[in-house]
Amino acid sequence: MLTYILRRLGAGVLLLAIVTMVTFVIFYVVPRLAGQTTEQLATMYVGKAPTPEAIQATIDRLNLDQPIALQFWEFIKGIFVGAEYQFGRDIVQCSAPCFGYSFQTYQEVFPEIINRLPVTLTLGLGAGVIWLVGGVTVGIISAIKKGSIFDRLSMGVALAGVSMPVFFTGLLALAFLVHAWGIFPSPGYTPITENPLAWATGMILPWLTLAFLQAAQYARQTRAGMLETMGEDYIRTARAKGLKERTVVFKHGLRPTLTPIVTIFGLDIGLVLGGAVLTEQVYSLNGIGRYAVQAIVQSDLPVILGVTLFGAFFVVICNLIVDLLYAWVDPRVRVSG
Amino acid sequence: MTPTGHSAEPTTEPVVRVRDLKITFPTMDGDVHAVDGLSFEVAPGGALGIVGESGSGKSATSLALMGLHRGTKARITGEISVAGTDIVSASDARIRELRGNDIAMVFQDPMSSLHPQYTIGNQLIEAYRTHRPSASTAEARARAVEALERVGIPDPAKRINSYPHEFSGGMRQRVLIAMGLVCEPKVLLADEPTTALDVTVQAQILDLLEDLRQDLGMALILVSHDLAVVAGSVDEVLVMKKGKAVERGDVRTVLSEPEHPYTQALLAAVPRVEVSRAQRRAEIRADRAAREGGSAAAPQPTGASVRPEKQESTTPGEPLLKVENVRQRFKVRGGMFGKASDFYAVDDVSFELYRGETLGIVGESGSGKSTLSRMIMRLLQPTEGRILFEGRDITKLPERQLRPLRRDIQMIFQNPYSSLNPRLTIGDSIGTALKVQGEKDGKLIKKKVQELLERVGLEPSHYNRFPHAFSGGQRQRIAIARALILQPKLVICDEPVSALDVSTQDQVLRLLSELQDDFNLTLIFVAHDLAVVRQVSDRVAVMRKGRVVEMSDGDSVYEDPQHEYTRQLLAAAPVLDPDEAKAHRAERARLRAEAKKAAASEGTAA
Repeated sequence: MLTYILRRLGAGVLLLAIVTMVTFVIFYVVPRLAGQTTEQLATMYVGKAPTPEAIQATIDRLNLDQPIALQFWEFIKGIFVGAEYQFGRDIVQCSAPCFGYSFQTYQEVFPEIINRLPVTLTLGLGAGVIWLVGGVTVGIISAIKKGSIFDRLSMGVALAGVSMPVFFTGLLALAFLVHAWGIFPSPGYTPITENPLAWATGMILPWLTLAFLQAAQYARQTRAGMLETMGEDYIRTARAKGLKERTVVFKHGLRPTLTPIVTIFGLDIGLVLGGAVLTEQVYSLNGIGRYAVQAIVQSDLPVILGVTLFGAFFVVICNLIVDLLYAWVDPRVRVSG
Repeated sequence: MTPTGHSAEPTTEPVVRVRDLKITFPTMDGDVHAVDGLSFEVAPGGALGIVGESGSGKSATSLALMGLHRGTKARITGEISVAGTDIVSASDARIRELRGNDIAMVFQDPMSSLHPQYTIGNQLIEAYRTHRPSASTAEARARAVEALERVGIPDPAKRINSYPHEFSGGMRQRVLIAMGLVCEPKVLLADEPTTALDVTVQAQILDLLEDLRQDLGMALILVSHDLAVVAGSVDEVLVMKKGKAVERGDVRTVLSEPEHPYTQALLAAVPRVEVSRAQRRAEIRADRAAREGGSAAAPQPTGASVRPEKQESTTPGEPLLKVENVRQRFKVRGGMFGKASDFYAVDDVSFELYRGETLGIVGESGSGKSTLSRMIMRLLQPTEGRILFEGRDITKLPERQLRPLRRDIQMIFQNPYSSLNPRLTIGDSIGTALKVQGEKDGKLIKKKVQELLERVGLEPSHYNRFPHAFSGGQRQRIAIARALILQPKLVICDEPVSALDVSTQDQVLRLLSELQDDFNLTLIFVAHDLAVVRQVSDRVAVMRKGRVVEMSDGDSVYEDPQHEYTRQLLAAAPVLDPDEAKAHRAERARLRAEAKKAAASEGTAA
């Protein structure tokens, strides 16, 4: 088991290294291959007034005229020990995990991301719990009562849920539930340390919106998985032992059904933590996703790069957790892993 | 033995009584009567065998005894009484109390009947505590260990914490039996408990069931498609066909003087290890001549390719296939810090095969027989040794140069359900091979395929049907047609009949025998069933752990086995005569005791 964990950890670290490299290549190497000159590249990092002097300064500052390997080295060094940028007469510090420095807002990227992290974490984890519990519950009931009114209704809703994007359901919810009927308070983020009640009530609509889309998918997956599992031979064995139907379903049927669900959940949660772009944008929540959108609109490359890396980091971490959970859920993985 | 298990003595109340049982499944095409007016009784401690082909309703009956049709669309009428409770009308709660406590069931497929994500201990303890809620976990655990010990799981106190995938198929079946035993039920219901297992393991499981029945006084209901499996284990036998009992009576009477034609046909279909190849061929040729009428004196209808008899065929020049000292190595990953170690699936095997000859390869799962056939097909490249086909070394030919060879060597696989593409019509499935080899004339392909379909006993009009429209036996005929369409020089059959019912198996074997006559086929016939192999093979090789332990002409392997392992295999083969079956059982017990003694003395010596 220990070797399994170590091996997975090693694989995770390796994956992060590869992601970093690929991200670097995309932002620093591919544009050159596409024919961009060093000056054009530098223009993207300059900020507001791309004067020739400013461009030259940026080239020097980011070593854009140096060999790629050196640039990559500086990039990696920045992440581990920080970086300093010459800026006119000032020296700008970008401390230890330096994922870049925005020359448009004159801010380090990493602290900006960390500032926005609580919003995204609250949104992602809260919605994750709702969609996992809700989706799986609905899926199980649908599978057990296959063909019933509940099954048909919930699967109909699920189909609709899967097909409706967040910016549609979100805007509808805002227009009707908040503004027209006033059922929910106006959504917004209040830190939980300040006012837990406001924290929860402000987030409830974003949670539900994000969860609705995902829960629909989970309900369908759970239902299909459960139906398949309940047809397995070992379910018949469990019934033949004289177990109560409840035990048969929840002990023998649920665990194999949940095994693949855990995998998908890990991926989805990882993606959402990297920035629930649409939900944050619709509800004007100042999270990582919104930060990314703003950066894209302003072509603020260092920020885009930083957010991308950060998102990849979450996906890798969540996958690692899933791998470890998987070994616990399914004993067969332990020997073959 | 307790030969007093006749149902004619109504001294004790029967523990299972079924009267006029009808099971109906409503389908889109109307009702299907899976079981239609079935009646039987089993006395306490008695043993009943239920025999029938797939679709005869025997499994539907066993599920009904457990009340496992509840919640499905099946309609059940009649009376089923188990340990005094009426299964048809009892409440769900009462049925649950009964299951596992009064009547326990052992299922066909031990690989899929245990939950893969819980330890066997967890599953056993659960079974016990369901019916003994007051028992402590420690007590239940002790009971579980005891049950595992009872069914012969070595080191049960430790193995109880293992997961099902850490056991072999035979061991898993023992675990399932232990699960059935843990509450000491009055009736043990075993539905094809050995169909998925090797012959020797099958014999062990049947012996175990017999021992348990003797020691614990349980009644046994043994369901199987094979009369030979039930012969040595039951007092009474019930033969089912299409949901009805066609014959029922004392096992000796039914087997020695079967009254119903269906029982007679079933009996005739059981492959008999004592019937020699020559006898069997003569019989099949006579049957064929009679069937085709006319030239009974000259039973080779095509006349063109008269197959030489074994005695004459010993003077061919060049062997078609020559296998020289081949080995196949696989790397096995070790335990936690384990280094990869080598495992030889096939270890130093040599033989020659001449045109028109059939070589039977017998062995249990893991003996390397499938690996060997894959090497000859060159689906695997041998690690060492040489394979010569028509004098040409094909051991290391690259894939491109193998193409023409693929035409000459064809294979028939074990599972007719998964080896046909479900989205291709059988005409396409068979004809594709011709197309791949460069035939472009669509009409000609169709004509050839239809001729062959007719030859393997199907209709030419089946050309445009899909595989799902065919039964297992028919699908295997299609697989045979597919293999023969290119007129291969060598056909390798890898367990071609082991997935089929006894009667279907017999038909497919007859077909192969006829085709040997017609096409002068050279066959390698791989199987785990000694009797089946004897029927088709001129020579027989017995494989064990990658090595050929014995090889000679078919009859001498069976009549005068030289190797200890061959004798074990022969002793494990099920036989139809109940008394002989018992003699075999005693012989097996003796062999086991000897082995145990040998192991013990080795242990003290070490």
